[in-house]
Amino acid sequence: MTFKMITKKTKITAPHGMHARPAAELVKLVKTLDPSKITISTQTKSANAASMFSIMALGLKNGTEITISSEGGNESEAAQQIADFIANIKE
Amino acid sequence: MEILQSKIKSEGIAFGTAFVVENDEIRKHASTLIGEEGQAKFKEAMAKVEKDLTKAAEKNEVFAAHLEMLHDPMLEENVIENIKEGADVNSAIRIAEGRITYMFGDIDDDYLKSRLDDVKDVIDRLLAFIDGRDQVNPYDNLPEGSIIVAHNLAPSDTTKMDIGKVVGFVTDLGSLTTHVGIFARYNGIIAVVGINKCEKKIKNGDELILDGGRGLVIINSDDQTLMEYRREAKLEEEDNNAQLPTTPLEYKDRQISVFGNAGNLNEVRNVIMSGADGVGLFRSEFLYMQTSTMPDEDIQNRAYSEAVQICSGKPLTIRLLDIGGDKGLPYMQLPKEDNPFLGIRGIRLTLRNKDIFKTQVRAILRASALGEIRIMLPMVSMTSEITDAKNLIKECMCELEKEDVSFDKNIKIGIMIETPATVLCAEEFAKLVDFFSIGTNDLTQYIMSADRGNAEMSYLCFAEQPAVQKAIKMSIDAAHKVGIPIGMCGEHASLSSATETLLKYGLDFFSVAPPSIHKIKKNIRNCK
Repeated sequence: MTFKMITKKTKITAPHGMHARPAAELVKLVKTLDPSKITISTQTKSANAASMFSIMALGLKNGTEITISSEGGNESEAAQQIADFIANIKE
Repeated sequence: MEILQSKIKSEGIAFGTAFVVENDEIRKHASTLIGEEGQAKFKEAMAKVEKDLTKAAEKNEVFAAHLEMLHDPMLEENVIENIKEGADVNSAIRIAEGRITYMFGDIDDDYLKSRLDDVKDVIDRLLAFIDGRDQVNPYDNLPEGSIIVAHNLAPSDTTKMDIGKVVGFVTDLGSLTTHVGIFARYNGIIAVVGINKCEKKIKNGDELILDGGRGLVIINSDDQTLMEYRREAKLEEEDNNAQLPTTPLEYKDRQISVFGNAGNLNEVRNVIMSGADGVGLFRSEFLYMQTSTMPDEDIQNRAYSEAVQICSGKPLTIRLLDIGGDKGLPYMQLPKEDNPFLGIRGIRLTLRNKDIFKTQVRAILRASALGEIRIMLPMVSMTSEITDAKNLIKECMCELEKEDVSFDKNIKIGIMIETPATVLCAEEFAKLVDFFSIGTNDLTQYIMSADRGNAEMSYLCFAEQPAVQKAIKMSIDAAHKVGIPIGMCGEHASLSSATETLLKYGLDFFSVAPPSIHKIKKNIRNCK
């Protein structure tokens, strides 16, 4: 079986950006997904999506453009689920 | 009425009500555990905090996020890694914290940046468990006028007390130079230490009289005794309120200064307000303890500048960073040593890390344009250490000159006399410096080869030991032979019973805790 890497671009729409609570939810979601490695990157930094600290330290605020990369099984579905999750952060 | 007697004499009289603290056993300092024990302690802490957070998350979902942070690989894996590399469990967590904090450092959004508080909160829960701070505070609801009676009092105990309500300490373990004694003296609390099984013999609510000078605890005294003590205490108080000059005193045609010791800016203020002739020991460690990275030159310069301004014309003696061995810094990994008190401490550490040394010296030199500052080197044991330090100081001076920054070109440089080596070769050392200051706490433990933190060694570890007295006398004679002043900044300097002897030996200055300044001045005035 060969792994491929999928990347997906999206934008943070949450009014307060990616703060502790959504970051925690995101980490929880990442842990339920198949891919062995999911990374979220901005123009300057990238973070392991399974680490809340890394995600929070990206400083994702409203309007930040990000790239989700996913590799290691069910890549595209995982990337889509994460993009959906991020689009749905309301607080 | 019952009287308990200690062999250890302190001073002062206190009246109060016993507040007995049961400690079943002396808590092992979990925070210093290393290796597998350290890892086990960390896992225990993780499990405990996880349980607490799970419970808290039921009521407030913020804690669900905290729970997720707790198991973040950056924390959990990093701590284990640090322990494997030799850090003790407390330092391992602090190093991980440092890395996480650093990562958050360059976020430009204030709201997100303030989420760092969540991170700190989680880490603090872990540290609270490891340092034993999470237990119920036995000192809650402490009544006014309490005398704390305990087997032993650790720093973690004294920080939990509302100190304004405490008038005295009675302990079984400890001595005047361990935490109990030093803390008491700095806070004007009367302490009687060395009362065998005091926590069993004294009952909660007993009315106590502490007679520090005689080493007595009087339980439920009769009226006659109480009246006599009240009279004695009143005389002592009147004597303490007598006005004394805030300039050096004369003793046999010599000018004797009484300086104060300070560990932060507030204490510098206390020293000056207590009428001292300056600061004889400004411990600079506080600057390094309150930050999560090495404090830079500007941060340090601001503190030193403020301190020298508070001194308003009186000298400020800054002891260069004295860490290593048992005193670490959260963001600096020090090698584990078998005998930390005989290891990389004080100047041995800063001469190996020239950046740290020069940053501090530059900050001090810049502040020296504002008033008289003296530099004091800790833990010197070879003359070459002084030469090396002076060369680095000269380097800093040249740099500042080039940068057109003003400083005191004739800044005085002295050393602590705290190793037997400096006593035995005191003349050679004196030729290289402008002053000596005897640190009796460490000098005593090194001369007596007795750990001052070990209660079993307290019969050896006090400065009245003939060998220590001889060392003090030798250092004073050597200093005077070469023609430099010599003082004492250890706890021994603040003992009333020692003032006259030290003056006779020829000591030029005393440096003591703020509450003792008035008392020592009074003693000197009375030694005519």
